[in-house]
Amino acid sequence: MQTNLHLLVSSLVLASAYALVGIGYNLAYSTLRVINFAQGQIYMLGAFIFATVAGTGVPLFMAVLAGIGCGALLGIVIERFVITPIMRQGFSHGNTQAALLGTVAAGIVLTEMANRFWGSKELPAVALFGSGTVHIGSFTVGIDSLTVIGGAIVCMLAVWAILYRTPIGLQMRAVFADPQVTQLQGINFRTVTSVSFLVGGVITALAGILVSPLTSVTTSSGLQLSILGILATLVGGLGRMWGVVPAAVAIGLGQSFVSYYITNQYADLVVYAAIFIALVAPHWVRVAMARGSSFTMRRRAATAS
Amino acid sequence: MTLGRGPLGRLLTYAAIAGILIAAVAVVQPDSFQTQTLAWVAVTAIMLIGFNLIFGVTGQMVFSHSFFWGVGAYISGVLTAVYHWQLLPALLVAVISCAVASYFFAGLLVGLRGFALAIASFVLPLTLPKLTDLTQSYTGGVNGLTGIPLPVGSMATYLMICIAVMIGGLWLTQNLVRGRYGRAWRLVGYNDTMASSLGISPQREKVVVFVFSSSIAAVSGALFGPIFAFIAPDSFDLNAMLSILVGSVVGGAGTMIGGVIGALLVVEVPQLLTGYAENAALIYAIILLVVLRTLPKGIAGTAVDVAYRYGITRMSDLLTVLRRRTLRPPAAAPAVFAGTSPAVSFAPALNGRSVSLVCDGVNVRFGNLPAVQDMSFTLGPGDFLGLIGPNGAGKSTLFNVVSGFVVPTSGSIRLGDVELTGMSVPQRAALGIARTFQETQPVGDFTARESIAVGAHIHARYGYIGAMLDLPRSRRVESEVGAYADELLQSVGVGGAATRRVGDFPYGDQKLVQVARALAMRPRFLLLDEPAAGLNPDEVDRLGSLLDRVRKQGVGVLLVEHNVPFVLDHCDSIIVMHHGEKIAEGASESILASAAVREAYLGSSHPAAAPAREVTA
Repeated sequence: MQTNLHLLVSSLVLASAYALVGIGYNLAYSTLRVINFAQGQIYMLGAFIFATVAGTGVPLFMAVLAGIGCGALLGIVIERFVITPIMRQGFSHGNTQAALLGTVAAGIVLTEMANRFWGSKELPAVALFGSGTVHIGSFTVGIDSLTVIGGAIVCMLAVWAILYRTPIGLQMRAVFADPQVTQLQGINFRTVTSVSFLVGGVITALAGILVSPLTSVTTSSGLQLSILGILATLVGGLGRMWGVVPAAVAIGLGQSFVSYYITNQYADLVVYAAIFIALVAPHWVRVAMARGSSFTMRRRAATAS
Repeated sequence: MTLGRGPLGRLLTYAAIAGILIAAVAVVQPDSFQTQTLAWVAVTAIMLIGFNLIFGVTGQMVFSHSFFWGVGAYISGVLTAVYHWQLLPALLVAVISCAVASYFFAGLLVGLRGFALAIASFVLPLTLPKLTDLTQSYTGGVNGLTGIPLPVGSMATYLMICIAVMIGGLWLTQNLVRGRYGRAWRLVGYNDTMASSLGISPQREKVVVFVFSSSIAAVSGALFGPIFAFIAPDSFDLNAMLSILVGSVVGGAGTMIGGVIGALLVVEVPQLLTGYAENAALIYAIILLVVLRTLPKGIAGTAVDVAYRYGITRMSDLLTVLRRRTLRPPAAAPAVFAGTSPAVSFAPALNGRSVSLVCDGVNVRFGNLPAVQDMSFTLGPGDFLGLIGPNGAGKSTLFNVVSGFVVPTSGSIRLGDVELTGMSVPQRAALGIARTFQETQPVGDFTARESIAVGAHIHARYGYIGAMLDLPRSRRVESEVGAYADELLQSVGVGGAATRRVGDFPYGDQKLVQVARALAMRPRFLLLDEPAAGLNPDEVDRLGSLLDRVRKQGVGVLLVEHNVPFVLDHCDSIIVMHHGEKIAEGASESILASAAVREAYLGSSHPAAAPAREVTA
């Protein structure tokens, strides 16, 4: 029981990271219909900047601000200098593909630059609210874990509030619904796009700041987060803002429980296989249903004639 | 530019290039390090040629090829290093296993497109290190597999073999891409809806290309092992996939020669820069970013575009330009409408007795909204049926039911005795039902001739082997298709511009080319979705006289159109739809006289609803 509860908490910690990164993906996707594959690197850099600034002894909130600022800046830079110019340029097969490749390249540039700066050493853990524990009945849980889960919930509420309680949020939702038509309605598409990438960058960097003390983060963690975050987003439904949350929880649970109970070494393999099935299954369900319906249709037609 | 004309000349050219390269290796005798690097270039080029087939030509974003590269290398490596097989049988086993595995994998992926496809295929390479871990006793796990023997005496000889395979691969794939399969694959990449309306099954073609290119990746992998006598999981990791992507994009993803250019770049450039090992990823990424922003079609693709701008679409054109010694863009070909003169035949190409297309009691509901209610009509050979009605009347939905894009809630569509309901769009197309689309949708860089030829896909038949080897039969079919395409273009009035890209045509000509493409299917029935919309009066006349000739040769035409005078002039029977229901049917005079039609178009209180005036909507 204790073990299971601990596994549950650790999977929720992982899920928080995937969900926040996934919401970042969705914010980017909803405006420009592109996956920003450098999202994981924003997570990684947010964590590294935060830890480095915190290491200099300044107040923690300043370090958090530095991390968030880095996320916001990267979000806008990637939008303005990578995705938008490439999309305007065109490509032999749809410029979203080219833009996706551009973000892959941008992500690698960020990883490599972080490598030059920080090397391959692991990030020192800087917990926001100390590393004590809380007792709930007979169950002990670390404050740092609660910080992550609580922080993720606060971040999601903040994104929700921006989207549903502010004028710019209304414009953002209009753009999400139909980027072309809203431009004709006098909404400044470029502003909305930049704000979306900014918000996405901020919450992704925050995810890095919150989660990194609990997991080992190196400069190459960015790519891993990109992949798992995007898988969660796809399973939850690309562009469905909150669909990523249950998907992230499912992936987190899968990773924790599979690696504890079944196989530690091949946990990734099992999780990838499960995600792969989750991605391809809907098509086959649709095919099976279409076959069923056209079959009944043919029967109906046969009895009618 | 080629040694002699035609296919044999092409073969000789490729053989000569391979000969020159091999002779150059023999004469120059590069040192062992250079030889190794050059062999690496050749092997990477083979990989890129295969990858370009799926990524550039068919436009499918897949990240799984480094996996098949690795699996090919490992299977062949284990068989030669551990079991002491010869390279050739080991390579064959590797290719066949990868072909089977990729067929299975493609079958799973076939429903995905765009980003979902990219990410789902991304999962596969991530599993390679774990798989080598599982088979550690054979593959050496993370430590890699050592002692892969060189099949021939020296690295220089091996390099010559690799060059020969590379040029051979270039020849085979170039032939494939030039013909019917290449056209179909390009069309699937641009617009799979249109492809299926022409009888090309996008899913089938995607699977075929995927298996093809994965098998080529396996060939490349099997040849890769002996170069360094060593392979490890990280030879085929995400960085390797990234270098493939960079090579493909920079070289020119849509071309085969781009693969060779890309390979030279991704292998040689990091060698020239110092500190290669740790900077490779950064260099690749920066090159990729720069090229995406400056030359999105890559080196070879941009070269093709520039040449096209100066009227050079074939090697022989280049020769002409060189002889002329001036480089000037071609004069715009005058659009001459050939009227009824050419003897081009539109008669349905399918054998068998003439049948009618029957739409019987079709209902379509979208949720609670009835879009089409109890529609029935019969379209016989040579009939010309018009379908009109206000916006939102359900015309397009009915149209989509007939062509197979919308499944009706009830009712049936039959062709003679054959029940069409439940058949896919390509199946219906193969039975002789052609359609056009409202928008012109020029398909990328297709020339006018290619646009028509891809319409004739289901008739221009020859096999993959024939296409790859450029056999006489496929050559003959191709020249027939080309000639037929030129005649068809002549008959819609754009005969002088067969080698120009359709995207450069004026709007009206694009629409006419679209009709010609559907006609190239030699269909029994032609369904036209607003073909006259946006045409000027002259173009409308051209369309009208074309359609009159088409139906005289026994093709049944179903026309959805807002240009009412055009419909009244040409159709012998008209159906008027309103709110999904048929409100009138008959010849043009009876439609004009119908009070229900006037009410639907003009409203009941409108003074023009008095039956004296003419409907001009």
